Amino acid sequence: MGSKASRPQVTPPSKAWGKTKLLMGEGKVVEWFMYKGDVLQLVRRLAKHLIETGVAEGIVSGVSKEGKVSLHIARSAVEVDESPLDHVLLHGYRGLESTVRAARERKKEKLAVLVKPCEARAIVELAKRRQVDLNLAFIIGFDCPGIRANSDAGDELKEAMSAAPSGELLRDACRRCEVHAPPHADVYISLLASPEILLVGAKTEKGTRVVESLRKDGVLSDRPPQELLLGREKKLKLLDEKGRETLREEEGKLLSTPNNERLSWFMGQLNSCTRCSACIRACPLCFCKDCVLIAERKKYSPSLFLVTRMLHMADACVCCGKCDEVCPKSIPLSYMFYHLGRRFTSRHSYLSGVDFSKPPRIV
Amino acid sequence: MATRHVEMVQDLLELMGVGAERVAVIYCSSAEGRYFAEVARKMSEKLRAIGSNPLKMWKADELGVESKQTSSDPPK
Ligand code: SF4
Ligand code: SF4
Ligand code: SF4
Repeated sequence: MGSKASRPQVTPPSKAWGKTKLLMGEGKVVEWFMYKGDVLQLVRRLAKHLIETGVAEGIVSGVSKEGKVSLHIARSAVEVDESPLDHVLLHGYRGLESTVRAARERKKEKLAVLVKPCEARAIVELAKRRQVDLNLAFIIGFDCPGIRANSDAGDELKEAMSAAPSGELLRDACRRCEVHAPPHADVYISLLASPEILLVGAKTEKGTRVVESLRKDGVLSDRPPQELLLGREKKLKLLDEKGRETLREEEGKLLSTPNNERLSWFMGQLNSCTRCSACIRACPLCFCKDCVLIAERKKYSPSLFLVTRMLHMADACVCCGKCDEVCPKSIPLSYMFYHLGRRFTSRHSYLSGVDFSKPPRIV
Repeated sequence: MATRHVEMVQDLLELMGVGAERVAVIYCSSAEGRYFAEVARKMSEKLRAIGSNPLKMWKADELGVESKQTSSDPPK
């Protein structure tokens, strides 16, 4: 490697970066209000408000048919009431893709989208790459304690978003999740402090306007007591710390395995890939319209298929675990992608999806 | 930017247990022929010292030989 001084200069963030930053309401803290009631009702109320006032043309949602939920944009109050919004937030579309992908593919439309913190991180990474227009998209972000593995639609949103299932029951990706609150959203919803008293907050201008008018309508009540806010922060800190702990443990285990064992494990995994490209379609961050891996899959050996994808985007991976869920071979993809990504990004003091002012490390 | 890509390749090789030292970036202008030769010689010496590429034995998948999937639990 060349010395540090001879490395090419990092191109300074373009002017448009500054714009995004302003949009974030830099430095402003989230202003919180309370909502006493059912979270699904609140989300529906919020979605209808957004559609009525024209802030959004619709909300990224789904229709369930024979137990399967597929993408549907709810554009009217009736449609919102019929939508399985809770399922969409928790699981996206089973075997298909995350809500982020819909927002990304329709970036010219004003759509509201429900996201978990990992997906909010994906949106930040996409916005940096101009794949989502934050002026148009309306992001409703939830605090997330982690999603159950093998959970199904029956899961109540309230239960899932208020307390973490014990370690064993968590999805693999959630066990190593380091960010349990959305780094960016227009409206924030948190059930972490108490499943009965929801915290609803806003930071961006757009979000503040919406929250203000919901408050005028009497949907939201006054500022929450300090201890609720502190309780939430304390829980978040614990969750984040636990995720980092798991990451460290996993990495330690991997690096202390003898080289040849590690290599044969990796190659066994990589070679079992069928190049079905389900993981590419599920990943919120694989945004290339003409993915070279999909177009020329025959030209890649199975191991090179995954290695190529890793080298293309592992630095941006937000550990959402969508790829794990869809892989027919159960290859631990988020494990490989996130560990590789973190190894690379931590050297650059970068964490994917949390900071608008830092340009992507690999473009 | 290319250096970043190489860094990522090194990280991957390190994680996989191949060793990052098999890839390197060297800055060298076209006028520095002698320097280049020197660096290339040193690199090949180093590689000879580390031994042959452990990835070689995995070429099988390119020949269409099916390899068995290892347990999807990461090495413990
Ligand atoms: S990775 Fe899991 S715990 Fe973390 S935000 Fe996503 S769903 Fe929640
Ligand atoms: S690679 Fe997997 S875990 Fe990472 S962002 Fe994409 S889908 Fe999520
Ligand atoms: S989903 Fe699994 S089998 Fe399909 S391309 Fe991705 S890693 Fe390979």
